[in-house]
Amino acid sequence: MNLRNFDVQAGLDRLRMMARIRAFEETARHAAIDEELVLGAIHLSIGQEAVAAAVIEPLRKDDYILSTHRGHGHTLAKGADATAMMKELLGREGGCCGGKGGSMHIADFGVRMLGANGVVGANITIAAGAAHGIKLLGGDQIVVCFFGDGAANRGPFLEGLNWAGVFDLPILFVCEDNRYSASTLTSDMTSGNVADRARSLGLPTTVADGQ
Amino acid sequence: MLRIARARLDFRQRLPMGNDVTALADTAAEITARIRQTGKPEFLHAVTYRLDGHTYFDPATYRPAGESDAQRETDCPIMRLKQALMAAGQTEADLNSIERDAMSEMRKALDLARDAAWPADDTAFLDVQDIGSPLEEAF
Repeated sequence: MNLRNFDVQAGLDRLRMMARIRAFEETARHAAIDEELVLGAIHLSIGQEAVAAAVIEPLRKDDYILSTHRGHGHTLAKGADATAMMKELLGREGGCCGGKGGSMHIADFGVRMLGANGVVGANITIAAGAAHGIKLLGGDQIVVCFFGDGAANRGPFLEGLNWAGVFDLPILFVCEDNRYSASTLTSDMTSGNVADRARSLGLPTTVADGQ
Repeated sequence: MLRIARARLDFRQRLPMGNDVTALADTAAEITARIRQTGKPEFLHAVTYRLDGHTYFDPATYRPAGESDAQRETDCPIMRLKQALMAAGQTEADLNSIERDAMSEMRKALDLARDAAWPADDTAFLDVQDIGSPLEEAF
């Protein structure tokens, strides 16, 4: 990395976003463990903040995102209000889904965050649908669909990528690979690799593996 | 400090870009601009690491002992960005204050949430999918 070209202002903005995500997650964890205020399970994205901050940064407010069960970071990065999100985790009035969805259904249509999803990979076909809707309506918005390494082994992965490729849809599929599918090392249960699967379906594929 | 942190890494020579917010943001900006222009789908594979358990109550004993601690020490995305910002002249105190402000915002959010009312009973079926009673209607 060339430090002479380093954009300090952008760096500070990104630090702010990642720090807010981590602070939200740590506060939610405290609320769950120490105060027993959180209803249901929460899946924290501590350590994964850069993916949310970096990939959502170039998006417009009217672009769509979809997320996984581990979606608090994406939701914050897209511009949802932290207080409304916290109320949602606690099941209270004023939560972004009226307190009825909780962590795994956290959504904010006002910032075009179409929802976290408790079913692994299910958001991929919904995302393809959202992108298809944009195309049918003639818009120039794009969709970014986040899913994990485990989701690449589920049916909707094939279906959603295939559909997007066939119909030329404005969508970025992002595999946020944290190497574990819940409690299983993903490489133990994945044949071949995820990037090759996307390439084989004709999608230009970038592997952010760092040099 | 970055050099010392990297010296402890004996199992990986190259840190994945998934935790380098600066490089990943450049990549993402390029890809999303191209999708908006071409209207065609693309795929991004970003490798990162989940520092905590699967759920908040999961001790993650299925992971090798010390793996998460090592990751936190060498490949935490926040730490990496702070190091880059300090190398570019920012003070650690200023960066720490950004983190403190973030925590203060979220603690306030929790305070407001803790005191918030429960949803009213008569709103229980609003905005909730209702396909009717199976006693009356069969699919």
